[in-house]
Amino acid sequence: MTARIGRRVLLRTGLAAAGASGLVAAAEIARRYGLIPPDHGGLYGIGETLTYGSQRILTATHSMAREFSRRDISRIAPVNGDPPETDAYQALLAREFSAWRLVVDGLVTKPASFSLDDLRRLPARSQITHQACEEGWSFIAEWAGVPLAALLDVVWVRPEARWVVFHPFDECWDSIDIVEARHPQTLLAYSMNGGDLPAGHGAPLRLRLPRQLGYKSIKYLSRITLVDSLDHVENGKGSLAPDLGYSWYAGI
Amino acid sequence: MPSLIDLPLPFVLTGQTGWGRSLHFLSAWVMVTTGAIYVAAGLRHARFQWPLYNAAQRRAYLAVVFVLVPMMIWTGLAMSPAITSVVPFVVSLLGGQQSARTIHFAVAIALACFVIGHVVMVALAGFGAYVGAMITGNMPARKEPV
Repeated sequence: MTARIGRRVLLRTGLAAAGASGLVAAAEIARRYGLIPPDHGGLYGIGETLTYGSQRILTATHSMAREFSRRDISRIAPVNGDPPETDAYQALLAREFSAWRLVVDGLVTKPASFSLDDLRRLPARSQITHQACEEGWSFIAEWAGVPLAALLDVVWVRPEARWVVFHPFDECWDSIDIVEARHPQTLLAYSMNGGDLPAGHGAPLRLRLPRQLGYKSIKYLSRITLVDSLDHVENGKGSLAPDLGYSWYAGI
Repeated sequence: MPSLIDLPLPFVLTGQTGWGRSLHFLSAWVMVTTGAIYVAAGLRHARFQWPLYNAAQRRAYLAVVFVLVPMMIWTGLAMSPAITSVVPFVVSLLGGQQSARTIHFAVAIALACFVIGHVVMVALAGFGAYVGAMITGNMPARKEPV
């Protein structure tokens, strides 16, 4: 006498199977649409993935960070940390960065290096935005520079490039995804509050990312590299931040 | 300037913020998901099932579920530069990111006080029985309310 499979057993098994395959499908879709952050590993990686994935979807319409007027600019813009004390940086600083070049390489058709004058000749954008530090303080300042998108066009970024890695003169390397890189407010700033970018705030060039917390706006830029995977870049987690207990994605 | 009081080293295991920051953001997802299911289920049954609790307890629960926790979520999202770029009123209605941060800390203290009182009361009423009831739905047999 064969046993009949009850309706409830069938329904439950079917739902479980659908749920499981749904999860697998969701993971694959997330990976394909760039919704998985490089620090997705481990227990806390689940939270990082949910946060990055949901905010990537919500901000995909190129939502703009609020831009203020000149009278909103903060009287005091705190400087967090000293400029690099390496001989290389100090020598460049002493000569007002006339010998400094920004190297752009990786998955680009026309790799190049740019002096400050070269960058100033590219399309410029000025924005007065709010910077919130993870530590709790914040300030508003006016930043001017070349949009990263404009620079990527000059070097003809290859279509398979998915991440932009920033190498500064200190050890605080970082990266962003290509969608963030093309955002109109993603800026390579050489000017702050109408003057040259001060050393304390990242001279000669810093990244400005107004839709993420301040620690992603890397100072003292030296080199920008386009890659299709962050797995083999340094610690494989997209940034030094996860090694320090911070998130690669700093939208929140 | 060195701090006056430092937490013992084991609390800061893996770096400047340690795992606390990551745990906070993972917990946020757990709380929001669980809370949404809780509120949806309560609204579907047209009331919240708190038969054994007195008026003060019910008022505390209402405050936590409908005021404190939503404020935590709102002020938390108000500190997100990404979310506020999509919906700026989330932060502007609170008077800015610094105001949101202050409110977030104040509400966190209120919630912490609630949790301490809440756990003490559950322990006094029978920890195992009531935690089991919370999970399985089988209320312990008690004649009078707690």
